[in-house]
Amino acid sequence: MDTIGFNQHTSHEYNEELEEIRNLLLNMGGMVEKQLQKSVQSILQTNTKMAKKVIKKDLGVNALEVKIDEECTRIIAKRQPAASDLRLIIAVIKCSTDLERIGDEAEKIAKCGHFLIENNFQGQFYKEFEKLSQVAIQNLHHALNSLARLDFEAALATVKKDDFVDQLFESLNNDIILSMSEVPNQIQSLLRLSWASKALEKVGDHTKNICEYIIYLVKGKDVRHLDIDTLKEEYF
Amino acid sequence: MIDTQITKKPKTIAEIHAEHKKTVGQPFCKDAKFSTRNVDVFYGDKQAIFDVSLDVGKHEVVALIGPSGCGKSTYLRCLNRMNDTIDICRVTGQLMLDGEDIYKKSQDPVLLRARVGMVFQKPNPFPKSIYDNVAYGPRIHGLTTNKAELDEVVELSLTRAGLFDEVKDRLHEPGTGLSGGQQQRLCIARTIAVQPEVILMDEPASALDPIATAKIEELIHELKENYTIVIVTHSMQQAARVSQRTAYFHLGKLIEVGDTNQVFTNPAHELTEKYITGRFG
Amino acid sequence: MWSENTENSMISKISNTEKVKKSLKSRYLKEKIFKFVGLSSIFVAFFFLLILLSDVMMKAFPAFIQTKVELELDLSEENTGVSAKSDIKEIKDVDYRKIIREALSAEFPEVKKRAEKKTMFSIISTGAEFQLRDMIVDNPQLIGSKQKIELVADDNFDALAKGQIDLTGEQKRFDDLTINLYKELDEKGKVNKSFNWQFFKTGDSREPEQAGIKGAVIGSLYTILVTLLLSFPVAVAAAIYLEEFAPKNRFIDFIEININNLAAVPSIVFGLLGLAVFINFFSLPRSAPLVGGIVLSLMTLPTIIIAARSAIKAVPPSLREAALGLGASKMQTVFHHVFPAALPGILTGTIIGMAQALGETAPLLMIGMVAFIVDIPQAITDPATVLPVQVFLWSDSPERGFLEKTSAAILILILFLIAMNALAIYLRKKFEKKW
Repeated sequence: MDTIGFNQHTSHEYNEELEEIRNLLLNMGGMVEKQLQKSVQSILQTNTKMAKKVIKKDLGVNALEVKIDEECTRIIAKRQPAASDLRLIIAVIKCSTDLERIGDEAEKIAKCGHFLIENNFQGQFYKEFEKLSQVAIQNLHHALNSLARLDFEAALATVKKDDFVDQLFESLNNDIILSMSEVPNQIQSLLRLSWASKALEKVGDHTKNICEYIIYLVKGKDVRHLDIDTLKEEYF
Repeated sequence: MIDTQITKKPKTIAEIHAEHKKTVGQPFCKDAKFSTRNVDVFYGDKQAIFDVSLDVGKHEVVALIGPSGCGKSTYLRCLNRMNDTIDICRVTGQLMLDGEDIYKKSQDPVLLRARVGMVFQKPNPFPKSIYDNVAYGPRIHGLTTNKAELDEVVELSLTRAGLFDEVKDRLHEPGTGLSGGQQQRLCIARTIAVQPEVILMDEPASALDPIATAKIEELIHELKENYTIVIVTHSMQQAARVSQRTAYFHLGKLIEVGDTNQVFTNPAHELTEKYITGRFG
Repeated sequence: MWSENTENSMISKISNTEKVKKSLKSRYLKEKIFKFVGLSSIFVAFFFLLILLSDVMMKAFPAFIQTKVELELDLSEENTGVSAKSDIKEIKDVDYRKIIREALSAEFPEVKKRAEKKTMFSIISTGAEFQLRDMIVDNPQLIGSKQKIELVADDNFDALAKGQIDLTGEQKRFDDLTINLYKELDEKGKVNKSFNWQFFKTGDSREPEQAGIKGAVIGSLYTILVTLLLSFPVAVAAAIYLEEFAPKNRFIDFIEININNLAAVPSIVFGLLGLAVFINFFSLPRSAPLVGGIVLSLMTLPTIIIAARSAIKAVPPSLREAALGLGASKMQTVFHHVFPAALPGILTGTIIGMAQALGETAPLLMIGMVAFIVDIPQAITDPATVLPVQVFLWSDSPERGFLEKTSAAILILILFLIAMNALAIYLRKKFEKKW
């Protein structure tokens, strides 16, 4: 079953309902991705206004999550979905939760950025931070793409890339800790930078979750908390 | 938006069905009560069932689902040879009950039907009293020797069917005076009064309201302890609720058999998927 | 695109309403016309039925009234020659005609001439002497004194008494003497009219005033009984076999077609068959209800088979399935469930067949049940006649008195049929069960 035709139901209304929640989720994904980009940019470009805007816009992300949940509940009550439809709805609910968390992380990064700008942080480790953010955002982008195309191969690849995010975070964090002991008067700012990178690492985790839901949606297998390589050999 | 990637035209249902050769999933099981292999059924020249192989385990509820005319009822009726009553119906292949061929010459269909009871789509109590309805089977088979024993069997069967408390004061009133759901439970009581080993149910709740349906489903759940049950149903939710295994029929072929939980969350075959998610038409 | 569509549909909706309104008038008119036609056909049918029934009833009514003349009979021991204690046989041998004639002569001493006397004697029915004899045999105490006894009048005198004879016309059928005698008797209050019990107690007779229906009624009952006993089991067995057990092949199809053909065979053919086979070949008695019953059952067999088959066919298959599913054998299924469920339909068909047989004349003519039989049949092998044949016989008789008897017999036949149809409805209601 390589293709799932969500638009093939006998009931056209059902098709439209499923299409709607999927569009809502993808919109939310786009929104969250933008938020994340803006929050990182606000740090790198020392743009307070942008940071504030990100913090404000998170409310919109939250509202979208609530709306998606409501839609899903309505469909479950009305249609008693089964098989791929059921998995789609479960995946949408789960993904929306993870996307909302990513939104929260973006908000967190923006808050850290706001602090860093206020305190005139000198931009130490920004290069590494930028690298980390690029990888994390790229992963999220891939995840959202594979969600849009229901491409489980791409999702699997993205899951594997999460390790790289973790590595980048580990090395950046180690550097920050070292720097903290050297420049104690900057601990406040360095701590914020560490938090922001931690947030990016968490974005990576949420991205991984989203990819796993995509795999669940397409293949019907729950691959969470499993070793991806053996899984791939065994099932796919 | 999702299908942009797909360039080739999706196959039609007829094409998928034509390509289907072998049942997917787990049609066989250890400790089988019914074991059928390569069953073909013909009505005159028309073949209604194509090469169906399926096991029904002991004390298991197996649900047969599929669109109308898919042969699920026909298959069910092979299991107690109710198809014998149709002159033009011919069954080939191996159908074993406890390892014995039920279509062999020495097999008496009357005896088989005493072992394999059947509940029908429309509640069909005899136009007799409630008591006589339940007592009919034991009477014709001579299962009881005196009135007291018969009374006991009737009471036990009605109790098991969850009907005794509702009708104990009017056992000698006609069974046709009961409500639809009660009539169907009376039919189940009548069936279990013969103490069969297997109960076949042909859409037992399709003519009932949701509450009566829930009672029948609850009853199936209880009967599972003592009987092997094969149920044909049009309601996929019902199949999901009552059965351990689900078999999906399509145009006479057995497409997929599997654990009910798996079939309803992640069916292995595309046709099953299409059917249970409502993508036919 | 979408909005255009909706607009179009809106427009057509408005004009549709107008169109529907326009067509409504003619549609309702058609309905009214049909209702009127239907109702008037019912009225026409009912009207004819009413005419038939009222005509029969009007004509039949006088048949239930009997005219009697009261005479003072001299039953003294000297005159009769026997006493109350005499042997029954001796009492029977008394010449009662003489006693009646003497009484008449005593009543009208002025009548002297031979011819006039003959006219006078014919006032009283020729059967009156037997009536008197039976009365005295039953009650010998009457002997020994003068008794005032009512005797049955002759049919002509009866007609006179009932006012059926036009006395003023030029073409008088009766001579003046009879009319004078009637007037004289009537003035004396000696002409009495009472309910005609005799009609229900006796068999046929050449004399209208003595003719009764009982022979025909009993004959009909015997015939129907034979028909029922023969045709019901045979027809039901055939119907059950054909419906439930028979294999579907050409032979069975052939039989089915022929049963339907049999239902369409003219009944006189069955009569010829009965004559040739049962009377000539098997030498069964002529004119007997036995043979009549056999012939009629041949005729009703297809009717009952067809009715029974459709009744069996109408039994819902779910009932058969229920029984078979419990492990009942084919035989048990049929006799425990299908047959009882089909019984109301079978009984209705049977009774309709019986009613048809009851009204049948033609085949019975062929086997001699048209003979003039005075005695009331005591067994199915006794010569007998049946109601419709009795109607046929009486309607053929020249005497005026038989006209009313014919109508009375028709009335009784109709009552029989109504009773049988009522029984059919009752049985259907009683055995009909819901499933």
